[in-house]
Amino acid sequence: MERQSLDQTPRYYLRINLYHRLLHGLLMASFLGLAATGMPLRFSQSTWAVELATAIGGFGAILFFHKTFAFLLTLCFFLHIGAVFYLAFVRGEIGVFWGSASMVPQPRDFIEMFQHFRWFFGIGPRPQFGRFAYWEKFDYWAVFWGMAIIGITGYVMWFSSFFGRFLPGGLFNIALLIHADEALLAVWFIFTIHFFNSHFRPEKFPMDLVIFTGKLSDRELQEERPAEYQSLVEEGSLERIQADPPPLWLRNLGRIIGFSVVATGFLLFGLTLLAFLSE
Amino acid sequence: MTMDAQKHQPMGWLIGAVVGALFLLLPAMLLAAESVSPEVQFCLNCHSNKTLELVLQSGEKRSLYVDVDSFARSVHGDKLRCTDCHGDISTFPHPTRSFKNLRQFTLAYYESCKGCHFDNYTKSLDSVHYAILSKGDLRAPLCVDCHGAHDVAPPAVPRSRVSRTCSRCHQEVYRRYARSVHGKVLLQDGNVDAPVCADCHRSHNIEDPRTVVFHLKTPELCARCHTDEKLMAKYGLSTNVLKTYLKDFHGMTASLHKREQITPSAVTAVCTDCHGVHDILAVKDPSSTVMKANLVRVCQKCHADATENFPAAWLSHYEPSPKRAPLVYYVKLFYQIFIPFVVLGLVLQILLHIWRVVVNR
Repeated sequence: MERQSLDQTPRYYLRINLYHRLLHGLLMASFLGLAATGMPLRFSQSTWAVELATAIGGFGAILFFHKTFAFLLTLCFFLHIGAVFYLAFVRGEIGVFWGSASMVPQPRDFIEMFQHFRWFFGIGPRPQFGRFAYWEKFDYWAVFWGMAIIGITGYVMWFSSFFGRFLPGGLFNIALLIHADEALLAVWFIFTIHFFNSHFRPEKFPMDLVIFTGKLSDRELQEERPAEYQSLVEEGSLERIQADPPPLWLRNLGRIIGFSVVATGFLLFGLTLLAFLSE
Repeated sequence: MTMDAQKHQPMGWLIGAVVGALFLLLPAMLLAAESVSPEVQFCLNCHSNKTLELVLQSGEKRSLYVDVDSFARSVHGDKLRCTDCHGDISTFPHPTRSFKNLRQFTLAYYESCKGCHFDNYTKSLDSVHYAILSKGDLRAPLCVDCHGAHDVAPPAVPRSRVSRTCSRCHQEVYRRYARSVHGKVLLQDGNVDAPVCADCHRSHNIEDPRTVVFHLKTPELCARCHTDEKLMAKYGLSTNVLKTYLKDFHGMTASLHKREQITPSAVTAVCTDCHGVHDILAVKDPSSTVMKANLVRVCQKCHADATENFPAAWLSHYEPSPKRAPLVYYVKLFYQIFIPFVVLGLVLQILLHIWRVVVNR
């Protein structure tokens, strides 16, 4: 550690592989598209909703794009499920389901959350986060749960005549309600909480480029994920994930995409919040 | 109009006019026309003759007789002189005019009304009637076709007169209207709360009701009466119909269709798609299209493969409550609490986080 602090060029480590970065890109694009074409319907009585729908090309166009993005997000969902199962059962990395590299909440996550709050109030040290902090897992499961709920209710409405053969008609109302409100929660969650936790945290402000570059500097890894760093050092596998510094073009691309998405997200958040409050 | 046309226009196919024994009838007419002005009396010297007529190019005959009583009773009786409308005929003998047929004759005086009724005249230029007229369809009604010429009476006295006027051309629609809940109460019970044709279609700027634009405006149109608390209370009808419609599948969709520039090929259901248009019946009427037993057939108009389960999605304009659609009500309530709870909770955590970072500095 002493040696590295004197080093001028920081070392980089791979945190998010290309597959996950691309999948996140697909997720991001389709979520944004779904939000932009879905929220006008959720708040169909607002002026901006009608304007936005008209700008996109009317209700028919909105529906078309919404269904297209829905298909893409469904694809994304199953590509992810497929990758998890491939890792677990073909590559035998059963650790994806349980352990320090798993997205499944571990007992230590609850402890760390408690410690984090103690730190907020200045009565304890900052917890030693591992590969995934508890709020990142919360993020993951919120999106996962949201995709399942919103997806299922969406398909029920999409193919209402088919589902009407064996589901009571009253369920369509529930489906619409859940679809619209769960989506509103998802939109607000992503465009405020996720944006803050991933990008606007004081440690990361204004943007964490790791989701675009996939790479983390030596300092970031040590400061933010001390437990992961520690175990990587102990296992001696730190060298294995060492990577080249992210090229400037990739960082700039990440900035362009990132800031555009954040701006769009904030706009949608503001519009939907105003419409919600005046409901 | 040409008197003595044969003299001026020797060609026999031109205008023919009968010249009466003009001044011989004078005393008889003075008796009948007490309430009209002397100028009118002057014209009536000839035009009170029932046999006075004009033979048009087509061979049709146009009576030039004016019933002085009905003119005197008309809204214009004590206000207008003949030349106010017939401005082209201020001299006697009258200048020569020729008309192909009866319709051309009426058309020639089409613009007479606008001198006073400019407002309604301009409105009528936006009407579907004027649109077909300007395309050359001379069957399109002109002012006098609805209002009459010399016998113009207040158009809505009694109120049912409005619909009867339209029925002269739109017989089939009138027949259906007369059997509808609106038509029945007006025509049979004399209930003037019920809409007549012009209440929905307007009177002078009558829009083409077959367009998508008109279709999408229907909810607003029906809502004018059906959201009127006082009016609906009289009949025990709910005023929630628009609100509940707009919150449901179709209403949400209709709202987004509203401003579209390109006409969509198919648009969402509005009031009339389920309830019917001119033949609309009371929802309690067993043959009403929206009666539960009939509803699936209405759904199938758009949702071809809708099953018996399908119409249950429709809450019949009821707002979800613990009694009516409790599941919808409680799911809604859950999200109303759950969403702010989650978001505010997480925002609080963010604020704590920022606060800690600031304090540590």
